[in-house]
Amino acid sequence: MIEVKNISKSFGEKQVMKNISLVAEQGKTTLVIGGSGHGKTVLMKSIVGLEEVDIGAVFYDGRNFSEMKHKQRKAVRQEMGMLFQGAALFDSLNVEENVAFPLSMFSEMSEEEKLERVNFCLKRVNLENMNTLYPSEISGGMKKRVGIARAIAMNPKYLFCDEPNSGLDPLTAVVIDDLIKEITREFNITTIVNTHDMNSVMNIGDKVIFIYKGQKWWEGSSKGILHTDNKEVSEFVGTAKILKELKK
Amino acid sequence: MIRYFSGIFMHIGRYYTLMTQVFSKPEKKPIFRKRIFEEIDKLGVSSLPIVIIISFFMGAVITIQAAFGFESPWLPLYAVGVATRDSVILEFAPTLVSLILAGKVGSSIASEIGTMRVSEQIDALEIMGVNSATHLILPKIIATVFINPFLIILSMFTGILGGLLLGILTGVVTPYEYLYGIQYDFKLYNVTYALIKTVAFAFIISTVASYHGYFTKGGALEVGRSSTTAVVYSSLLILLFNFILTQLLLA
Ligand SMILES: Nc1ncnc2c1ncn2[C@@H]1O[C@H](COP(=O)(O)OP(=O)(O)O)[C@@H](O)[C@H]1O
Ligand SMILES: [Mg+2]
Repeated sequence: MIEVKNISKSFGEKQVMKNISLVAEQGKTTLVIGGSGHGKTVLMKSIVGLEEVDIGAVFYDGRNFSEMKHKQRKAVRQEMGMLFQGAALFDSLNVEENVAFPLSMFSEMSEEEKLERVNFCLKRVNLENMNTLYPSEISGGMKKRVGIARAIAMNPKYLFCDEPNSGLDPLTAVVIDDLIKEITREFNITTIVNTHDMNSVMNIGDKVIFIYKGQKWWEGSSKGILHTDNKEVSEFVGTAKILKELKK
Repeated sequence: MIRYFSGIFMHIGRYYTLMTQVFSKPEKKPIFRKRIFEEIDKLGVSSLPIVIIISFFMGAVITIQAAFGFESPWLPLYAVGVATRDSVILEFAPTLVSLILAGKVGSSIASEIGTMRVSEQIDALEIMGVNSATHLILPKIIATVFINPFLIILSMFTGILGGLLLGILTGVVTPYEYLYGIQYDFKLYNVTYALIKTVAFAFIISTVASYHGYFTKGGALEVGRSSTTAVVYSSLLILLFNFILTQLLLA
């Protein structure tokens, strides 16, 4: 379980996060939604400690991450996996080496054990026989899947996905969403996903948090979001709905 | 003006903080060793051709210029050899070649690390618990500090060889006088001095370029800008430290 308690953050004069609190439960996917530029990425990076918060604290299963020293943080980091918006695969390593990287860095596995684990993770994201390809040689959807494989290589307790299906075609987007949902249940992970895609909200959100201008504006279920009378939320949902209708 | 200076202090402070992060214990020895060899290959071995070509012609030009400048009956003919040797060893090989390397190696370091920053690969390292500064930058520093002295020694040889071959070819020197001049009153300390400079310059190139890459913000455009500023700043610092070290070591 991840608990975020009253965190705020400014860049210079500009406050991009105001007093946000949330709880993400184990085995469930917590969705953070909102328009572009409203602070989803900053929120996620603050939760994982890639950005320092000005006020507030983040607790990982009761452990105060914000107060930890570098060494303790590193231990918690090894329980985290993260899928970045652009996948952030290491350009100089091939698919297999990318997934093996955290294992080589932090486990005492032998080469065979590593390869076995890598192939298990790649199989889990339906990528087989691509071990020797480089990131520049595979499609966006495949990169995201490799990114997921790398994120789950160390058996994380916490999984973070920043816009997992941005830049993907709708079919691939659904595949990625399903993967995240299944993996979260299967391995009982605490998962937080950033998205601005309503399809994802309907598909994977156990809990939905709507961020508006750096604030938590609304919280509820993926069903509830269709019936709320909160103006900004229904606008967000509505525009997505209209687009969907137009596509039909 | 005040803004300009506070900018400089901000850079110095941030550079210093980065260096304290860089010089910490690497995660896994074997991986780290592999990283160093990768960097030696990428930053050192790949620079061999440009160093050889530049040094060869540089030596040739110095010899020809010296020969024309010394057309005085009072100077012995071997003076051309002495002049070429001293210019190449003292200044042209360590400083000029380091400036060229600041352009080649510096821009490649800054754009590689900058790209990793803007594509969130550095964040990906950090989230795994890897100290990205140590993992990415320390091997580059070690590689350049180790390999640049070899490049500069090679530059000295090819420079002097260029002077010899093209000097003979253009008829401005004879092999005997030139080679006599090269050996005349040779001071090994000059080579030591040049190598000390080289090591300092290698440190400047790798750290300044890494610094600019590491703190890149934005996208592809900013990566290009970082790599340009990295080259400008490391070149200026090389010239500054060239002056300081020369004062300290020769004066
Ligand atoms: N490093 C930074 N420095 C200054 N402003 C930033 C930085 N990172 C993000 N911001 C600002 O914070 C706001 C929220 O950004 P972000 O979290 O990326 O939005 P989202 O992910 O919801 O699209 C934006 O206005 C952005 O310009
Ligand atoms: Mg974002």
